Amino acid sequence: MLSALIKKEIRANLVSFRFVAVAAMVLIVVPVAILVLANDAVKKVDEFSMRRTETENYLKSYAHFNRLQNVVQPAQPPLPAYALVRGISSDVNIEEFDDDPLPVMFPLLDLTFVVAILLSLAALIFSYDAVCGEKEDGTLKLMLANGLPRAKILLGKVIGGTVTLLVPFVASLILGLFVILLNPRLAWSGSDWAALGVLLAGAALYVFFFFVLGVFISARHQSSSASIMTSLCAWVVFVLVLPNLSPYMASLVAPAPSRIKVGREVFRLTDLERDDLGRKLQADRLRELVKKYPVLTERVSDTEAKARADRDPAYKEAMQARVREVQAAWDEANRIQNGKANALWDDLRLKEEAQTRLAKAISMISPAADFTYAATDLTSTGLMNQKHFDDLSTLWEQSYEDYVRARTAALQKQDSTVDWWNSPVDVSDMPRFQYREEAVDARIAGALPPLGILAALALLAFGAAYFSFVKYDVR
Amino acid sequence: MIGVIYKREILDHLKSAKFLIGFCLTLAIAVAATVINVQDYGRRLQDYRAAQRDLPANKFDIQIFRPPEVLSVLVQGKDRTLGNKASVNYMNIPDRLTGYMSERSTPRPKSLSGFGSVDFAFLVRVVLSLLVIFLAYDAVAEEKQSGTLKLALANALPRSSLLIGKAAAGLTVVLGSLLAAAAVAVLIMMVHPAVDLSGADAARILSLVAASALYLTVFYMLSLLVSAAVKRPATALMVLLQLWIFLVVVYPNLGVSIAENFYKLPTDREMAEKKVAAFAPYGDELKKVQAAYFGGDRSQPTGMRYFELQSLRSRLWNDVDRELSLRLSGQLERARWISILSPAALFNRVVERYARTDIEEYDRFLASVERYWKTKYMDFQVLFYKDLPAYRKAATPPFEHPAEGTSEAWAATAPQIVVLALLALIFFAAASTAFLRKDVR
Repeated sequence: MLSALIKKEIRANLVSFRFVAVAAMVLIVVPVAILVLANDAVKKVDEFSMRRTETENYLKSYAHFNRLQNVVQPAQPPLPAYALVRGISSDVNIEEFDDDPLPVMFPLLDLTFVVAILLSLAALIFSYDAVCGEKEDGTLKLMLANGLPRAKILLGKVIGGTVTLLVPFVASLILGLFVILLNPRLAWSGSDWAALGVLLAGAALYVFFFFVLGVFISARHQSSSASIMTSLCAWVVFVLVLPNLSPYMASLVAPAPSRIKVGREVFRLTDLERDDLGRKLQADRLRELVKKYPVLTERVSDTEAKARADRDPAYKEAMQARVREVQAAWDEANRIQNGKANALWDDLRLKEEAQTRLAKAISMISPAADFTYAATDLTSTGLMNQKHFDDLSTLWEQSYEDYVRARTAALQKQDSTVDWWNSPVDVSDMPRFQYREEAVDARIAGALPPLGILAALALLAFGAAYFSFVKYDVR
Repeated sequence: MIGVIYKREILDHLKSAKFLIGFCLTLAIAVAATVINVQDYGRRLQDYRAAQRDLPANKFDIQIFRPPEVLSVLVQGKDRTLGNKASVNYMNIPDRLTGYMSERSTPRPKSLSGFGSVDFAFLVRVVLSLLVIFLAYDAVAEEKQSGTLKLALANALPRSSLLIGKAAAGLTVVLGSLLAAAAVAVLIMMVHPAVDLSGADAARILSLVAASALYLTVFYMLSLLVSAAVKRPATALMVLLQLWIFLVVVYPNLGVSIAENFYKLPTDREMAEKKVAAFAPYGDELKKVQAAYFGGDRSQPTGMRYFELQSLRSRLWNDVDRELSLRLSGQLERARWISILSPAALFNRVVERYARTDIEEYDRFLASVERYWKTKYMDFQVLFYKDLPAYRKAATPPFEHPAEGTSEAWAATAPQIVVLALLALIFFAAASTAFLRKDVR
């Protein structure tokens, strides 16, 4: 019986105008978007490898340690998944804007956009009249008069509707994937395809949620025109408003100090206050030192002191001790003040991270945000990858610093007359930053929580739809 | 007669559930978005003032800050994404702005990006345009289905009066909602202590609301046309929703993708090579003067020449950067031409212009920085070599960024406004024709 109902739903949908319209749109939009994004991904790969070659050339001829840090900064290489998902970058990047202002002007179409925005709307358009439309036509009571259980009717509608929606989407995606398969420059590995599979399951779940939501709203209304109004309001709130407002709500609940304020405070700590402290520490230490070398109390000019140090070894020792003490005093002052400044930055970072986490948690009420998080984590273009990248960068920076320290020490030993900080050095053995994408199982594991919430929301909606439909007055 | 129809239609709309739901949602979003945006604006203004007061600057290295735009509360545009600080010295004309602390991007919660911003412009572009479709899709089709259309016409009511009455009533309701939302938003803005609206701002807000009204009128007329052209209200709604998705969501994006792929930009390498080539004729001289200067020749002519050559270099490099930015504008212009038939794209462009949160405003600011560098700043730096005591005594010349006149903004947006008005007229004319020829049985 259920299969007959599903078949009926699918047939009824297939000949409807809305199906033709949605199918036509998806069949145009998805392949075009993938074509554009695939071109873009290839371009990004080229640019990245070119930049890398140029950096290496630069390192061959101009590798001074004092310039090096800026040249060898870690960079995210373009990933194969860029051909499908643009991802959440940390923000609109000003540098990126300079290269390419258009994505800043309009968010570009990608797979997440098509699913999160277009398919969700399409699902509501398919389902808003599922119950009240049939009631208006009078077919609902006829069906029920045949002794059909309501649960079966509901299940038939939901499954049939979701399947009809997914068919044109999957067809368009297959068209688009030919572009990726035929392009040898986009080397997709097995794990990329696995991630895509999970992504598609997520998309199906997402579409299912909206379809069920539409049925639920439909079962709460007597007329289909009021039902579609409510459906669209729900869509606007779930898809457009909630994900956008969540960061602001988070910043109200968990405020973080403004960066500029912290920067100002750090400047005060490491500049003005550091100078005061350094002077004080220096005076203290010299007072102690004078007790040991009373000769230092004499006021003499620099040239005289130099001449005297050449003559008198005891005086030379005293002067050297003085230099050491002064250096120690300022090192101490720097250490203390930098420690305070670092504590401020750390505090800021922690608060910002807490805020981001909260914003993410709030936005997860929205299925659109859940799907976006899952899709971007699966394709390494999301928040998870950002953290992964930051971790890799930190590791690399440590190894880089170790390398510089060891190398300058070795060079210093060879020839201490050269200023190695400002001279060209062969750095072919320097550790280069290597980005490794996270393994596919880790990515899938990362995508599970948002997908789980999505599934829970879908179940909730299904339960609500069921109860509303069971109690629906079909007359 | 039109008056009677007008009254009846308005009452019908006001009593309907769909209007009530839509209106409440509109007001709720207007309040939430404005409260949040105005607080955000207050914070950014504080940051700006703190930066101006405290970030280190000297006579040689001058920091120029871009203030947040007050109307960004209503239309976020690009105001918070495009950077707010330029560092000026004689070796460098900045070709872009950075964050206050010289970050590449403005600090902002990370999960925020990827989704657009919710503001008054979003409310009009998405929510109110949907409301318009809902109020108008059944204007003709529903009356036909329920049979009231032939009854109304049987009373010897001219068809044109009926259509005009309906259109006027529908528009009144829609524009009333728009005005209510705008009034709420502006009121919240005015209550906030950080906001200080000038007369020019008021004129811009009015223009903004007027443009919104025009945009909504286009959608109303389109809905009327579809309602008159198809037989069943359900079909009308489907057609309209598909059109809406296409016009508001898909088409502007697709236009961009296409423009991006057919209009190539020079690569970083080409830019760098161009810069090297531009300064090549002076390269040897600079090396010579530099060697002399660091060799200990601190005489006035050498110092002056060294200074001149370096500033010349920054000028030449700036010319190359400008050329790139012209090409970028060209690309942008293509994208806009492609999306010219999307009312949403036109609307966006117009309101961002009125709110001074568009790319043009950013370019204007950079142009002001460049002008400042070429005139006041350089005149001041030359003093260092010509008359040192005067240089020491003089204060750093202030940076000025003249606000764009409202009439200029009107002139710049005239083409978009005309296209929007034309679309509204064409749709109305088509709707009348379709309605006059409609089989009402």
